[in-house]
Amino acid sequence: MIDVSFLNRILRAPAVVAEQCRADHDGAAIARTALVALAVSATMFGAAVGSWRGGKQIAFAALKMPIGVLGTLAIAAPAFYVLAAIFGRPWGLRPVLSLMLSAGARFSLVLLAMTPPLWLLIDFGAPYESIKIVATIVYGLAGLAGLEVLVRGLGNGPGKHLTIGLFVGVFLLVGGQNAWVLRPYLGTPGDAEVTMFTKRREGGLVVQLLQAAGVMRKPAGDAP
Amino acid sequence: MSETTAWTERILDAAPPEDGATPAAWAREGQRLAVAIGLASLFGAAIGLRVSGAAMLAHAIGVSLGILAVCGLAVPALAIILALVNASVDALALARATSRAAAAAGLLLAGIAPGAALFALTVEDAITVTLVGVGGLALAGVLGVRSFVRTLAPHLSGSDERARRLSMIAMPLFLVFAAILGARIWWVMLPIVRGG
Repeated sequence: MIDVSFLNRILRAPAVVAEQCRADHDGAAIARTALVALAVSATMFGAAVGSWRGGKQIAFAALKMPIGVLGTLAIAAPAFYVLAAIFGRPWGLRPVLSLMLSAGARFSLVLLAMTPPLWLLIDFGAPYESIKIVATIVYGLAGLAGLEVLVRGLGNGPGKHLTIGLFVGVFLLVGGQNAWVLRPYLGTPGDAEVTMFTKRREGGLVVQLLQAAGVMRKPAGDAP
Repeated sequence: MSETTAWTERILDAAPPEDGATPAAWAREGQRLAVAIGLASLFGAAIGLRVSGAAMLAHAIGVSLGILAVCGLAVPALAIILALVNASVDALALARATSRAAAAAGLLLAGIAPGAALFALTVEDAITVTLVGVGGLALAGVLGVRSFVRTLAPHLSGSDERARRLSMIAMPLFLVFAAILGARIWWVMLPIVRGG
């Protein structure tokens, strides 16, 4: 069911895997292995993040993390497909999806590697803000590892940087909103009740970012 | 890459038809424009999800109309100006540049439609959907313009010196006009773009 050699190759030789994807070779095996790797890794990472609060939050975060990761991948994949086409790489859908899933597999393996240190940090009693930052950094590093597959997959030629730049923009927006909708993962400090989804009305991610950057005012009555 | 031609390659193909300006060549450009409009309407339907089923339809039509207006009103005006300055651009080349630009814009809008739908359905504040809508339409417009200019550039550079100079003035003016026209149509037709 799982092609371990593919996981080895995606870590060591992303360019080779990218070429394999572009040639539309072994797409079904790549998809199967990548999806399993993504689901397992994200579940483990979610459980580790949820362990900061403990109890039911571990199960909630473990359940929500793969939904968020796979959902983002599914929503962002058409954007990558069309951007690649518009900027001179009008490839078939299968090669593009293989490439996306391979990038996802690399992302998930790096995430999995970072899970034990994160869990250890939580076990040592690291505060909420620190865990939030560390988890974000881990996510970012894993994202960069995954991005390398896409960059290599696009090959050389005009439009490569524009494709990647615009896709990263779309991916961050979609991923951010997905994560925002499914929050909390760590659990909200001070909340007595552990819930699957937050009950607070805090606006959307974009509004939060604009308010944090000082571009938009917070509604009157909100704490600073 | 796989041997079969991807449909995105066909829809973005810039090569001139081998059979010349035949009715079949014109029909192909018409088909490409129709596909582009259909793809663009997906984005409209996605942002319209925020309101209701009727709003989905209204926004789908609104997004398509913006592109259609530019193709149907602005491009013929450019065709007249280019003919006036004697630029070496024939009608089919202009139609091909237009349908290809519409295809680039439509393809982009269809590709980001799932993301737009996510925002339309999940954010609590209307401003985010407005930002996503305006951002998506603006990006599609920019990519459409880029495609249009790139497809037409070889034709314009083949004109004589005077025609080339005058075309260099006419093209930016046309692009500004097309951008304002498209933005105006979308502003009027899409309540979500107005923050509604």
